[in-house]
Amino acid sequence: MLGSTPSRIAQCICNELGIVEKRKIGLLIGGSTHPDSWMDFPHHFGKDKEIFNNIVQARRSYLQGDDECFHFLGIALHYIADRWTLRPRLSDKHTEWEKNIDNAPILDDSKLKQAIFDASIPTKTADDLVNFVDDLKRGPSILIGQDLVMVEKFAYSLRWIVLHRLVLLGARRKSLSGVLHC
Amino acid sequence: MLDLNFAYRICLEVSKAIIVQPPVSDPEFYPKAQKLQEKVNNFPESYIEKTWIYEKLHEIADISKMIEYMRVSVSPKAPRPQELLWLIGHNYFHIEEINVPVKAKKKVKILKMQGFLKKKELEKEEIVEETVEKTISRLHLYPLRQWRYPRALIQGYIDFQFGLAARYVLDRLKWIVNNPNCLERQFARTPMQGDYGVGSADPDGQSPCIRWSNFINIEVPVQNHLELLYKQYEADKANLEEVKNDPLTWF
Repeated sequence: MLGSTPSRIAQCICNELGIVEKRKIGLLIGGSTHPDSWMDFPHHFGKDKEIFNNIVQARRSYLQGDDECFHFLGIALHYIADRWTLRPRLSDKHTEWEKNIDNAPILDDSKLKQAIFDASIPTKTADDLVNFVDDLKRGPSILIGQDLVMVEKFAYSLRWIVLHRLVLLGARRKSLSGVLHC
Repeated sequence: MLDLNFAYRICLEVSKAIIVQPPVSDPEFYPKAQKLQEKVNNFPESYIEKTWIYEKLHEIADISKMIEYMRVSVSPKAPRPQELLWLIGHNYFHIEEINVPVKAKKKVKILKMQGFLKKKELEKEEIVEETVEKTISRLHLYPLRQWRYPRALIQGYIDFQFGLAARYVLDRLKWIVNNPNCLERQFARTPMQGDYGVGSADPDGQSPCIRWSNFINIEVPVQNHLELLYKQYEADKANLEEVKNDPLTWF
């Protein structure tokens, strides 16, 4: 992912959550771009521990009133965003794909649903993706469903609701593999 | 394009979960929750009180049986428990609830004929001995194997009449294992790992152990204090779980 993509995601999140203080926005955007300078590639897999640690750190800092939480959150978001985007193996295609991602717009729900229907994917898959968009909106209630059984044990052992949700989404994403990169 | 939009939405959901204020207005909520977590993590040490009455492990559990077991069942040449180090890693000890026959005295009423000239039936109370089944808690222990006795020792056990006491000893051993400042915790190499040696450092791959003398002198609160201790601990643990699993207060 090009450096401007995670910072764009971070900026959109600030807008959505009503974060207006410059320092907080700067910390979130800074955190979301820092992992690329640490050379700990690849970021698309094997970063669960980093995601977990930074989310917990962000939450604990937030509860203590420490604004460094935005920096930790930014780091976690970088790894999450990278994990949720596919990666062509050839380097020239990878760069091209990164540019495409960087130029792609962040859509509202109705436009995203329309884009899903317009994509050249089977109707059943498109329906799944549209439901997925709605599921994401429902927050913790998405934990109710048959996917829950699959991830319950692992998530419970970590006793952590956010990862619970992430793992659930990961499980769903796996079942939709090969579709999201279109 | 879909990739980016899904990535954004997931990042947004995670951010919402983190940037959420607990509904409680208490500014001390998090420090309190942190303290509670520390207390629960430091169980049972953090729950014991100086004013309580304590008994040593060898006063409440039958340790003679273990020596007998090792001498008779394992090998007459088996070393005494005090000559060995006992493994206290989490794989090495567990409690088993077993039923054992116990001789108990019981009062019974017996009808007896009494009288010299005129026999009369009289009800009398007598004490008789009978065998009853009793559930006891057996704490299994594994000694650190030594080159001298590579096969002789398999395991030993100690019986507790009171199950909560066995549970406490087990929890105490777990605390000893996890507490780097605890002087009772020692580390030793097993014969499989090379030379046998003991130290108080925590080198990689060495097994945490306890000396027999330290083990049998573990102080256990008396029954009513133990019940109080576990009641408090269970309540705190449940409270902490609730806070940690709530989407608004998790940490």
